[in-house]
Amino acid sequence: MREDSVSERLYNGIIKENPVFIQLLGICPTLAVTTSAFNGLGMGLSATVVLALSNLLISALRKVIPDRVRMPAFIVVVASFVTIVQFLVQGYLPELYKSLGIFIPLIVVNCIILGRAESYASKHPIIPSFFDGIGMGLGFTVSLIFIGGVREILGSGAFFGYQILPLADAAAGKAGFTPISIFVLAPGAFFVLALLVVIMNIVRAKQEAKGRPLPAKNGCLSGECSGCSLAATCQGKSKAETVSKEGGNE
Amino acid sequence: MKENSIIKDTLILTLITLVAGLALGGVQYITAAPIAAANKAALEEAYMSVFPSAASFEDYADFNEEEANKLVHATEIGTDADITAASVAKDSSGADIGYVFTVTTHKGYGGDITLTVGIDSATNKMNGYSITDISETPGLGMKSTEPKFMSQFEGLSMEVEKYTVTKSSPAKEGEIEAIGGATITSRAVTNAVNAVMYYYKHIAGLE
Amino acid sequence: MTQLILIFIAASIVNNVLLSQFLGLCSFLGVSRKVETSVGMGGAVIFVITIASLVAGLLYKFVLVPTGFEYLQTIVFILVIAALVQIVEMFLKKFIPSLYRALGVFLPLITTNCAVLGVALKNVTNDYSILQGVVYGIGTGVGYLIAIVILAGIREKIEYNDIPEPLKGSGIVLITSALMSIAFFGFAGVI
Repeated sequence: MREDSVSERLYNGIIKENPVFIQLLGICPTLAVTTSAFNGLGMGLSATVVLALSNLLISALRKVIPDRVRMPAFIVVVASFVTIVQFLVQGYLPELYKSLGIFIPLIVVNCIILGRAESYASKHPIIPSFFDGIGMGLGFTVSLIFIGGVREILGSGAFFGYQILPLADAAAGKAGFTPISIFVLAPGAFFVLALLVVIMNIVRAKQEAKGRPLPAKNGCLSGECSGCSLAATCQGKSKAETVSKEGGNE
Repeated sequence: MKENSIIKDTLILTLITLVAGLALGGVQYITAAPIAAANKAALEEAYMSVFPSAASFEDYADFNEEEANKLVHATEIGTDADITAASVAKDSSGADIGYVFTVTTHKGYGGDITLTVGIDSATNKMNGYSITDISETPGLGMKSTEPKFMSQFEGLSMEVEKYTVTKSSPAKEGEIEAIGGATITSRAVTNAVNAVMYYYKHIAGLE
Repeated sequence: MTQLILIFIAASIVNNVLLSQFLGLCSFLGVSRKVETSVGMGGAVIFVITIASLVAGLLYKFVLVPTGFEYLQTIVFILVIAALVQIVEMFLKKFIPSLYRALGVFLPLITTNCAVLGVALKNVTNDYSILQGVVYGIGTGVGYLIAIVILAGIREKIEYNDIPEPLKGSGIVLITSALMSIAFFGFAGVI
């Protein structure tokens, strides 16, 4: 596949550099909203819309935005799209809004979005940037559905709200599945993610042994802050920005 | 030179912010109506589920939140629940047929639980409740949103002073069987219902 | 007063920001290698959240609500927090160098810590007054400190344990967090 072509970008986002599975980015919403596969889907798609549009706009403005104030400018762009998505969900999908709650506005500080703006959209033309956003967003969505699905199946025996494991009913003497409620609670989120990390570590070790290493983790879990949204502030470039941000905000 | 570039940077950033603000204003203007409609529909649905025979609902004009709660909290039924809204249910001819109250209890296991309770004033019996806001433990306290527990509240008589939660099968009138493993939630919901009942009896002159 | 104490306990222990609300996990997992640094990070978070909830609360109440611009809250809050962190950093550097040495390196990490923005937004959705909002902010910060220091303590202990290869690094940290999260369940229902 050609570098920066549409299909390459989609493949890159969904598989090769999957934000959650490979890079371990965006952990907060990954854990908080994945109590069911449907919530994961809703959160993932909301983030995808924001990612695609903000990548598009930031790429279009990349020559206009002065380097020194780029972070606040990115934040403004992302926050605007987030607010727009929030209103749309609130107005047209009130049920989803109720279950995602505060995590829709918190898309602003999702590591993935500012991370892509900084590392891809601000350096590449409009079309690849847009599809980079869609690819990354879909990769995020797939991961959220996966984690949400595992938690929902184990925690309530359902998938996307459909009961797929018949529940046990002690009173009626019916044998069946007893939901492991802990999986829809907070600790379950940590357990499922831990499991995922372990699987990925094994895959990683295997691939490395074959001489085809996966891209490095760059999320918060690896102990580096470079993947977290304001990547630049962690990499010693912070001083120039510190000053410019002041200038920008006042 | 440096001064100039700071001014330029600031100008560009201000411009971006301005455009963003304007765009948001536009979107807000467009979505304000659907959001209001969605909120209203959710409320109507909650009211309807506890008062299916009503045709419309109107705010109860004499409702005073502060007074109502002072009254309810001072009683001996021992409830901390706050009644936050009251509506009159009307049938298709516009006659009053009962009330719907919104009540919040703070004694849930996972925090506040908000429910709506419908009471039929012709029979002085409760139609049941519907939970609008809850963050209880799935599989335990969340069972308070399931018919098995909820149906115990359908048709409850106002003649009982207060309902209490029991961990075994209810032996006498005035007892509600707790959700297994979620007594705290069961108590919270029952207490909220007690608060509503007391207030209803007060405004209906049944004391 | 009772209500303020309840808000504080609820925010710090019962609904712990990290272990039950999942806000600010990035730094929770990233900066918890040593107890010493985690205390610094926790201190910085308490400091910034407190100021941010005060400033965001004032702005919301006295600027956004009177002008009818409530819908700009997300954008305003995040910019205010970003600016605030920078101002605090410069202020500390110039006037309280000792505190700057203790907290300075952590401050840039906090801008995008979702706990800070989360508290500002929650204060609005919960209809808190300015004072309640600040107490909620302090409580959240204290909860963050408690959780991150405990995790760092455990991580220091398990550092030399014989952990299966694939679990090394983030795997065992996540499992530790899960167990801590279960332990914190014991606090649910205390208020």
